[in-house]
Amino acid sequence: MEKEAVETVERKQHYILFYLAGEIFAINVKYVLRVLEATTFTKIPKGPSFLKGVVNFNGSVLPVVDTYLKLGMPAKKDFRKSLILVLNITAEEKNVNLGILVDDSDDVFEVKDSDIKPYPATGSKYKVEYVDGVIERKGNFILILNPQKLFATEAGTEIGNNILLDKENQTEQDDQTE
Amino acid sequence: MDDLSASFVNEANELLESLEEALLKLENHPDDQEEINTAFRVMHSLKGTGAMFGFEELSSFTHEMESLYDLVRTGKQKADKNLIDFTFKSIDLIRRLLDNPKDEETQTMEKELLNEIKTKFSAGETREKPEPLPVHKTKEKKKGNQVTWYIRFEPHRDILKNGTRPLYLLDELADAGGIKTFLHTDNIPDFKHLNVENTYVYWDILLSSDKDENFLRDVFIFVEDESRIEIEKISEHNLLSHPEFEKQITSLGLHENITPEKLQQLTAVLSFPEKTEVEEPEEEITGEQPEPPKEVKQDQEEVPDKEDVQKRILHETVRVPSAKLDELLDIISEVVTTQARLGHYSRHHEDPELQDITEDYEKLSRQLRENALGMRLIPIYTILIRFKRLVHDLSREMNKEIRLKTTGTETELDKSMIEKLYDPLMHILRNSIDHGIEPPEERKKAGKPVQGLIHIGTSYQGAFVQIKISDDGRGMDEKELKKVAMEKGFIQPGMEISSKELLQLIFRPGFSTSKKVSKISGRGVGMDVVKKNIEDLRGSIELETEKGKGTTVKILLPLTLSIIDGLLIHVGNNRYILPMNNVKQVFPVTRKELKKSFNNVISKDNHQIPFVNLIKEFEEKDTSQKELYLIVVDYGKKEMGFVINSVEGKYQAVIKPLSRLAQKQEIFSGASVLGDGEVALVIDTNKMIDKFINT
Repeated sequence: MEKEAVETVERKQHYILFYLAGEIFAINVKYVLRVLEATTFTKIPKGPSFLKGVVNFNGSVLPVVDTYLKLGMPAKKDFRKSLILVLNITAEEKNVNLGILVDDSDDVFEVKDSDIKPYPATGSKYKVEYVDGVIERKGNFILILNPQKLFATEAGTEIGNNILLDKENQTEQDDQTE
Repeated sequence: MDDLSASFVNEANELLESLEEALLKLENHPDDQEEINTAFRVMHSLKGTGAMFGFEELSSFTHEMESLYDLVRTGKQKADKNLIDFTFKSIDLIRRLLDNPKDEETQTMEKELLNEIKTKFSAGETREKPEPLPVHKTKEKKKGNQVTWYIRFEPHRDILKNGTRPLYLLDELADAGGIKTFLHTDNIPDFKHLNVENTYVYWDILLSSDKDENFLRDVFIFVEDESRIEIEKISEHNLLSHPEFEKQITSLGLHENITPEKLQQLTAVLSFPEKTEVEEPEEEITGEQPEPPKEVKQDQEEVPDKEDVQKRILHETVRVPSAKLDELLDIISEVVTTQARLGHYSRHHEDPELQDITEDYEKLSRQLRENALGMRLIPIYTILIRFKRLVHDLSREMNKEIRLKTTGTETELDKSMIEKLYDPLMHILRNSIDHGIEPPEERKKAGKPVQGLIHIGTSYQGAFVQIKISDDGRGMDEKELKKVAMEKGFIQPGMEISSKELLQLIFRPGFSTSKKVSKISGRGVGMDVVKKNIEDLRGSIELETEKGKGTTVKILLPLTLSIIDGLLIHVGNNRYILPMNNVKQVFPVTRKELKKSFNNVISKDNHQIPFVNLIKEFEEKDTSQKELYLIVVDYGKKEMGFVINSVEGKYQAVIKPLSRLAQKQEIFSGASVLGDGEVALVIDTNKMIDKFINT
């Protein structure tokens, strides 16, 4: 992209902040329909493991993804204080509603596009294609996740893309950066 | 294809269906004037609207057909078998013309049929030539009864801006007969306020013509929404050619507004000698009684009243995409949920007013739900019509004489279900026609009436609809069935098998007793697919047969797909819904009994019942010491038990699809939002058992 264009447009977008096992993430609010309290789930016996269960969302049945499992975090047992971010993403050319579990979410803030730094492809925990960038805010580094890509397989018909960089991938990406 | 043409094609297909029905009736009662008129009317409508939507080929062909049926109407051509068969062929052609008019095969077919009209049907040469513009037949028809209409036409102020020229409309009217117009200029404002683009004038029009009201309304069809149009018949005679009337009306029109009342007064004093203007007076003329405008059109087309009633009913219906109805149902189930929440809240707050409101709201939401569900119901009649044609064609092809009788056709089912019923029903019918009903000679020998009978009877059975398809054909021979079953390895020699079990084998893939494979059926695929289709609709299918007497297939279907009667149960902390129609019995069961059970079979009521412990399978911790329950469900012809924690009770469940993500399992067919806002999964018992038994 040309530098001038970035400077002149100076686009600002809103992001919603959320916490997962001590880490801070953000998602562009355009994907977020609503934030629900995670009161009760209806679990699906014999269902896919990353699926925490289903909840009632406006009279329809909303599947809720176990984000901890998805992001490779320690499994969480007590969801009583958790929240569900209801996302609307496009998968296989269809609009899909999907809930993701988070510990807490307490802020929506505006970020200039130019303030978003690229996520380093090496030495990081997550694959770069699922992270849109990093912003620094109040001394914390916040990862901006791309739910469209991250949950594409959940919303679609296949299971199990992995956000964590495994060793093989890491070396591969090392090669690319050299 | 644009939307308009698509909706025309849709409508045309409906017309063709009604035509097929009329023809089938005509076959039995060749003199039935009503059915002949229906045929004529269908051709006429297709011709008119076809031309409007650019289906030129269709329009010119139906013009020929219309002329042919005009001959039938006037008795110059008999409605014999020849004609009916020919009309069936032409229906096929019309369908093709709707589909792809440029297709070569279609074109040759059209030529053949047109030729046939000319050569076969007697009074061919007396027919008029086809008209270049067949939308409205203006001159081709004999001069009918001239009646006089009063029309008040007040164009909308902005009519010119829409590109409509009011004068052209008057021209069109003038083409239909004698016309006298009176221009009213009293609405024109003074020059200062005059906007040159507006229309301020309006007209009183007297028209004497042989056209009916529909024709007049059609003239104004594109402006009727914005403009004020009054059409009233003021006389059964051609007033305009009456010299006295003309004199009177001219002076009247000069001085004041013309109203239907004044015209009546005027005509009342006039005398009409018989045989003056009226060419073919059909009745003795007494006083002049103008028809109220809403009355069925006074026709020179001689269409019976009943048809018109039907027509009017059609106008009162609205086409709604079924997706919208689905959406409505979604919203209503949310309303029901909200209402349950409100009920919950008001019970905990002792506020009489709040309780009042809650009760009212509850009533309304129930009505709303019933109403919305009712909208999705359509009579089964809509698909049975298509079968009449099928039976007619197939029986002819096979040289059999078969009558299709239908009863209870007003029985209503959910629209989505009716569509999915077509294939299975067709297959069953084909089986009956092909294998069931014997050829005439064989029937004669067996002492049966030569004409075979297939009866489709539909009726309500509680929360179900039963469709019974029975034929009086040769039935099936159990011995032969057994032999085939053995040959194909479905049963082993020496195995005892009840006749019910034997008949269920017919629904197994690869089972067919037909000696030869015919075009219609007998390839051994089908009945298993039929069964699967019916089960997908949460229905069941059964078969009864008696050698020499006939076969009956019984299909039982739930009234709607979206609401089921369920049993709300607890397994661990979660609630589930079991479809009530699968549940046979509920037994209390102790932990001791479970422990004692061997190989997951438990003994209840002297029955050995295999069971699945859902508490274990769903990985729930069984901590409470409370009594457990065994729910016995049907599993094919066997039974099967589920061990659960407790039963909450009966529950009417609005079934929601599980989203795609959650569909990656098979044992739940959907979910339902409960009164307290939580979600309960709906168990598909068959798949659940398959999963736990076979893995």
